[in-house]
Amino acid sequence: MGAILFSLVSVRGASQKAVRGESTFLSFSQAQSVAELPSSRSGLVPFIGDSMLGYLDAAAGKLYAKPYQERAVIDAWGWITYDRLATNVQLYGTDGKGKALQAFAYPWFKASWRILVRADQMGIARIDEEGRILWEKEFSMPITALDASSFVLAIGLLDGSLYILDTQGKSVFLSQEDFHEVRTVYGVAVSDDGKYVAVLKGLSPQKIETYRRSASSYVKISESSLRPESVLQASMAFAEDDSHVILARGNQLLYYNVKANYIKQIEVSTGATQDGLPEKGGEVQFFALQSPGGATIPVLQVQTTDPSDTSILILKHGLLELVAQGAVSLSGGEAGLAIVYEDGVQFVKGWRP
Amino acid sequence: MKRLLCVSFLFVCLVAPVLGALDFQVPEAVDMSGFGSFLVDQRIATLSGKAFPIDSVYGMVPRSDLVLKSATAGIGAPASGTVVYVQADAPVKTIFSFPSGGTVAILHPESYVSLISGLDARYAIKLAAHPQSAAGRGLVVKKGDMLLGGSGTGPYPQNVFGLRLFDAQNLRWVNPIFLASWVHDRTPPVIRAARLIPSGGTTHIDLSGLAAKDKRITCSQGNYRIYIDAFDTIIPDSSMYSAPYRFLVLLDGKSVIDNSFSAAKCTEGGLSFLENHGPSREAIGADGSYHVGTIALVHGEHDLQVQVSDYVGNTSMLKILIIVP
Repeated sequence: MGAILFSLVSVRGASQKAVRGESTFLSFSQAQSVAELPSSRSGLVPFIGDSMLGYLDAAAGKLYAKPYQERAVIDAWGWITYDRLATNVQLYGTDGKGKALQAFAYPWFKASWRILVRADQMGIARIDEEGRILWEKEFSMPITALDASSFVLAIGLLDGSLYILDTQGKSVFLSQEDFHEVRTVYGVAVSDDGKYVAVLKGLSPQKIETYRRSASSYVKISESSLRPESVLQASMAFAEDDSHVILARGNQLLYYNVKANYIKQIEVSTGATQDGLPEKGGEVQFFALQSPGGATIPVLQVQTTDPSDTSILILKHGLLELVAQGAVSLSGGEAGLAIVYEDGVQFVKGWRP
Repeated sequence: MKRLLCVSFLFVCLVAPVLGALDFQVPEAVDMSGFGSFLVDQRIATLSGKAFPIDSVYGMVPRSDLVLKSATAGIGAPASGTVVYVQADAPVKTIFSFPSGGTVAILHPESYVSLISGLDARYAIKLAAHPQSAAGRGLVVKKGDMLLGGSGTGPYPQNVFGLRLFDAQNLRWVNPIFLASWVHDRTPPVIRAARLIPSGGTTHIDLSGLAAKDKRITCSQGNYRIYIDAFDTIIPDSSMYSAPYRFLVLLDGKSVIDNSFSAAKCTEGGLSFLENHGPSREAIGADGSYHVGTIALVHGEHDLQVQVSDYVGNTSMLKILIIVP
């Protein structure tokens, strides 16, 4: 346990200031086994790190962790480990009991959705906590983008088609395209309340399109052209308050204001040597993560030449709010914020954006 | 000579109309698994001397790509075109990586799109960061340009790549095997099993497990689905199994089924293989055999002949007398 220094940095402003905040660091070396998890699941925050996964008991301030190899996903009901070749998929409950999942696919979890993405990227299946397939859908094109809220799942395809499915797998919106023009979907983000879906698609011009829920379907309400264009797949995330989307693609970070329909490039400078932040050199890659609340969106920054050199930048309205150097992932919940490092989890109790 | 004529005939009839004037060459490889093979790791496929519960494995469907094992860590671009999409494995495990791994999609003339998977993540990102062309038409690759694989990504092991070809005019994924002129397949497919299943029923009537002197079966009048469990080896001494190319069923000397893995059509329900409805698993039986079509049997004696060919025309055959009392 100890105090942690967070750096609060103005992105574009010349001045940078740092504040101290009290938080708790829970080391993996002192964590309990996940088999010892309390039967009550309330207040448990699932987390996943580079080689450890588990749950944080926010109320008791305890960490339950388990090492894993290859790859994994976790949610409140358990986790799945899998290998790159997608031939060894193992499903675990929170009791730690596992079984093989007969699938040639990668699992993807978000917002109570458990999805298997088929190895050829041309099909998905929704599974329950026991690994049973609830429904499945095959597409004629590879899936290039995927996001979900509790209510809907949005899927973008190589040919530009966009599917929005409800929890039963029924289509609530479909925009079908073909290759007569390049309209590839490079990224998609669904707001937490399912009210908005933002889509990055097309070339010459490349656009961010916003769809709003209307009755039982969605309608396009705006579009905005993007410069510079890129053909690289993007990660996108909505702020919890639906105000904006952060788009991360390679070393590019963009802020898209949904309501005012404008885009700004974010210039993140963590190069200063003050505030405990070592100078960064070379290329980085950014990945947008799920909003922990309010107008904040975390972004994972990975050094291209050294993937073990990571940081999490929490942006608020696109401005740098907090830097967690060395962090690899972040989980948010009502109880607070869990920032996952290589050797443990930093829990910021009662953190509010 | 006869085989060459056969190949030429197949190409003209089945492929030329599909591929138009596309200047496309499947890159040379040391091993290959073909279009229509099961979408599963080859190590599992090679254990399949006995039937395995295909229908219980999600994702066990015919594949729409060629799997190419290269002699090097790179693969040549099969045709010139414009890169329209790049994806790369995430550099850290906490970020979801899409299953096809490092992938580029290239738009070719005449509305063809190829997808090459198994590319190195850093290479793919560099490729995507390449400046756009002066015409604003994106990054142009030329036929033969080397695309780098590194240690393998997605479900593709080191030096193994996936190659898919989409015909956007006709909305189908095309089997590009005829564009691999360097392949010399001399062995016919192996028929492991062939079965009849009455429409609406589940009882199997085995056509292949009979002794030579008893090549006759009796069954009642009706419609029957035919399932064929067969595989082909495209590269000599290959450890990678492939689907056969063509399934021909003759009833009393007349062709009643003539399906091939020339392409997979895009349908509302998904991909349609072997004229089955989408999704693609409709083309596979629970035991891993291919559903090749349906025949109608009426009262009388019938000669049934099942021919399974590879794309060159090498053929294996099964003959049986069917008595419908």
